[in-house]
Amino acid sequence: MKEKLELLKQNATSDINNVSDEQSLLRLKSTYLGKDSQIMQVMKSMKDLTIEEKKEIGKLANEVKSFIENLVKEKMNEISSKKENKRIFDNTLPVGDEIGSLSPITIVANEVAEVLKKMGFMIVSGPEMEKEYYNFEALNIPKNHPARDMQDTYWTNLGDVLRTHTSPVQARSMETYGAPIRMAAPGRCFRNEDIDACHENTFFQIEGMVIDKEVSISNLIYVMKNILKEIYKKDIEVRLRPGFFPFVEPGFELDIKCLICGGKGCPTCKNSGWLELCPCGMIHPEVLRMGNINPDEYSGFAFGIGLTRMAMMKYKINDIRMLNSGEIRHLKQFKVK
Amino acid sequence: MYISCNVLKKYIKDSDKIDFLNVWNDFTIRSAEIDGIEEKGKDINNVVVAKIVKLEKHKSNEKYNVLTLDIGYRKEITVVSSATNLYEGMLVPCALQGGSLKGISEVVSINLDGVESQGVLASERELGISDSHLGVMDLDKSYIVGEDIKKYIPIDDIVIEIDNKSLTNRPDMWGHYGIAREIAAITGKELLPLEIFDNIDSTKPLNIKVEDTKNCNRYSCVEIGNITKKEATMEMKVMLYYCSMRSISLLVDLTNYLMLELGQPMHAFDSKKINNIIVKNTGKEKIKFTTLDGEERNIPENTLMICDENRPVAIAGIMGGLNSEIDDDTETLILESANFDSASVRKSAVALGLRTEASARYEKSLDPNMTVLAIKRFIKLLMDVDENISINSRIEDIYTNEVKENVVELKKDYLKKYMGFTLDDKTVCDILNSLHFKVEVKDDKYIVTAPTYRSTKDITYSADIIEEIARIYGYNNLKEVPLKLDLIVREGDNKYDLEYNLKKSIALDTGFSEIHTYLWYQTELLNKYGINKEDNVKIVNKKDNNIIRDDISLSLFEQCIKNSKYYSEYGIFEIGSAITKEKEERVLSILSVCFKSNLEDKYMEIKKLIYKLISSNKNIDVKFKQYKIDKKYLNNEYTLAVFVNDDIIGYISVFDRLFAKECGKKIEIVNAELNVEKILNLNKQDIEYIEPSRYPVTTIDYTIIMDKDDLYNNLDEVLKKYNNEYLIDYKLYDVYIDDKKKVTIRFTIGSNNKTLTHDEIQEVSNKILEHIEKNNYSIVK
Repeated sequence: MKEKLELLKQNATSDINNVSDEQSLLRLKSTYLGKDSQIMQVMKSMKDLTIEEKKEIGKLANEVKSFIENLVKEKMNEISSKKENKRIFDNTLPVGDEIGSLSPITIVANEVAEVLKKMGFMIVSGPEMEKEYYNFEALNIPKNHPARDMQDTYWTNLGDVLRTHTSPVQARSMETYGAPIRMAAPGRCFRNEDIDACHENTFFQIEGMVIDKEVSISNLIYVMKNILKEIYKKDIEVRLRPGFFPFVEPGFELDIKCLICGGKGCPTCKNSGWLELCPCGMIHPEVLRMGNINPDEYSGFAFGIGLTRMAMMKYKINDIRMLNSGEIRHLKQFKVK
Repeated sequence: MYISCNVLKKYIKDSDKIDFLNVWNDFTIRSAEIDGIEEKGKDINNVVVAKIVKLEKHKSNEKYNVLTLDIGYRKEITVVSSATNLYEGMLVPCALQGGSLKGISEVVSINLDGVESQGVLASERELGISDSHLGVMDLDKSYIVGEDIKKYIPIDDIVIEIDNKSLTNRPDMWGHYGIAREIAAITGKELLPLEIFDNIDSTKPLNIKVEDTKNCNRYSCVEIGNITKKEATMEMKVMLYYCSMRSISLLVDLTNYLMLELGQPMHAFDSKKINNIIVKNTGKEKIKFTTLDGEERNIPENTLMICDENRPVAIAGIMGGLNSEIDDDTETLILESANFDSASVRKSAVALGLRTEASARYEKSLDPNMTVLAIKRFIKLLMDVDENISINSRIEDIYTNEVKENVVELKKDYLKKYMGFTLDDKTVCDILNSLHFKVEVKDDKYIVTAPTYRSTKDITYSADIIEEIARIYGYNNLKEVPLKLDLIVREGDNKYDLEYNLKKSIALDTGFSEIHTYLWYQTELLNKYGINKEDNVKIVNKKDNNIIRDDISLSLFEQCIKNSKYYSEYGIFEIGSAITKEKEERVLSILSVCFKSNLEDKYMEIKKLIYKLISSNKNIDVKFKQYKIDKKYLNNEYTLAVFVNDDIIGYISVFDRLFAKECGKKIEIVNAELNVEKILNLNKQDIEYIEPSRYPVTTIDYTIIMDKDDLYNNLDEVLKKYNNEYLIDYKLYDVYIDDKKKVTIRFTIGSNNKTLTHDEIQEVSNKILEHIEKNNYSIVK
């Protein structure tokens, strides 16, 4: 009987190895493992054996049976996987081309807005066609002020302006929300300028403003540094220097160490090693007063970051006109992040 | 504005201890922006004073002179030159072998037609001290032969270009003396007083009248006679050149020098050409006037002018007139040193289109207290050159609007609030004193007196004093202190978040690209399609394309024309402002450009997108209804209005062929617009949980036969009307079109309370069938 089982094992192994389709395998399965199979006969005939023989042969028979079962199972896997390999399913086809794109401006604006939100700023918006009052008077820029000259303004036939900066949202927010306040306003601005590779009449800024009872220049430096650190994902060397804007006092220009040359001097930073990034300052007492906020009680700071400039730096865009070109062969590549 | 460090050095005590190449970093972070630093004279080397001992014609080339030059130390060299202004005994600058000049990096000995030339004679241009290339410089006979030329002519200098814009609010820094004052404060050095001539004996009055006392703050003048010298010193000429001005004559150069030095514009009239002085406003009178640049100008109304008894002689603060100009024969002059209202000068300069160095300074609100000082300084400098001049009159001075020192109170706790920490009294006083502010220290405050040159507009508030303290203390020395966060939650207007979420969803869902288009239309495009936007808001000071858009989709269409050159199927979108005379609204516009054969798919894609955008943001059900939108470029056959709560918040449509064909023969454009303001104002719908039935439900499909041109909406209206407690819902399952439109609807039937029996189900479905057939639809059996 032992020999019979061994032979059975050998035959089954070679038979099973030789089949290649499911049907023949099933046929073999019933031949070797079915009710009338040899192994079943061996098992049935065991009742005539001695106890010792029963033990020995029984064990062997079970081993052979599970060996063949295993063999069938493996073969079945092999066959079915082969069948799948004749697939029509090509999972190597490329995907991802169909992701749309956001404007680089939208992407950097959102990066800045997200950082500001983490610092507790609320995001607000204001109109692109603005009242003269909010664009100038409320920001301490009276008529005939030279600052009105520095910003060549588009005027409409309604006597309104296309806002020359996002700063009017400061004045509007003071009126709407009062103090204390911590707000940021991204948006589009307009200046009456001739367009070339470096100049646009339409560009984006984000305005930020904080007003509270104890707000200092030291707070401003901290906030600005950390915003920039978050945006550029590295420690950035910054410097403040005096800058004149009628709606802040003291007013600053915030420079960062040139990202291109690291401060050694290059054409981008006009060899100064520094890039002018962001005008900022302590809100002028008159501006607070016009926003119905008592400058003796409250102080605050404000800043404006040029988003267009920032996007150009981030993506190394050298012609500003691309951003408003509407041409998707340029714009597609920016994806959504 | 250009600043010569050679000049600055004269005003600061121990200026040799200042590093004038590097002090500008400190100046930049404390005072104003620098546009550039240039080291002058670095390219001029080994140039000596030489004397022409012998001058002969060249034997083989008559263009040349052969010169024997004494170059000092008993050495003579031979130089060949083609210059025509040479003579024996002339002192000339000569670059020796190994030396350099502008345009010649190394002087070498060369053979010119058989004669060895061992040096190069220099013109002013070659020394870099003027544009003049008229001939070799004829040096002053007092120079010692053999000495380096730089000993006599200040060729070496450091010239700084300061960004004028950064001086807008600092009238005191529009001259070298003001810059020196700032440098002295930054470096802790002492500012030296200007040397002036203060011994005027004459008591003779001049006849001056100021009629427009509002716009003329101060008018000072003096008459100076017996002027014989014609040329300024070499030093002054080089300084003027380095500061980007041209040397003209002694008197003109001196007035310019004074303006560059003190920031005080001055004007010299030829005394014999004018008769008394009246400062008055032209009012409504329109006149023509020829300025000293020779141009005849139309003087606008209300221009402040300097006149004599008969005629205008200068435009106040801007430019003098040709009729009273000083010339080579001028022996006696009336020197004007005045102060005019900044706004008035600015207005006139803009109206005339004439911006001058003088008007740029007056516009910044100069200190009227320096007019007389400037006159005394002028006399001193003139006397240095021309010692025999006579002062023919007293200094006439009409001071109408006096500027006094501003006194500002600065509370100590206010200073602390702004700085973020406490500064001690000594530091505060030292800083303010270095800037020539006077400080009186009280228990809780400082009483600060600003000098008049800072009091014209710059220093008014305590915040202004804080700026002075903080900038000199050094912004780089301030600590960084985090903000204390309050716990007030404020949401803002949510518009930004909504817009960003919409844009991101569209880009991810459709693969479309966000673009930005201008706020104004291309007028050409409007004209081409006969679209009338004449009633729109317009930009008055823009030449072309000055109609502001009230419709964004049209702007996007314009971009399609460009993009279709590169792509056949694509999508673009924008959220932007659309402006009418009544309101400004944020609008989302999407354009999907596709082949005609894909139109239906693309249309449905956009419809699905719109549905998702609204329901994902607000959980609100959206309804689409056929509608007519009044836009010339839309084919209203395809228009669906997007309804939420019975309000139209947007539409979906297809561009008219006339427009779409711009993008290609077989191209169509699907267009959708949503009003972002309306979406923003929709209340988000809360979701209430409904437990699904615990009993089994049955679905039954019926295929309903419709006419091909019948719309699903009509069928839907019918189905909606049917109510039965066991009909849970129905959904469109499939549409198949052959000779008819066959619409399969899947009905879900069940109950929350029990398992329906076969008969009950049959009864519901029969009733449904009945309802459908009653409404004239047949069913595929």
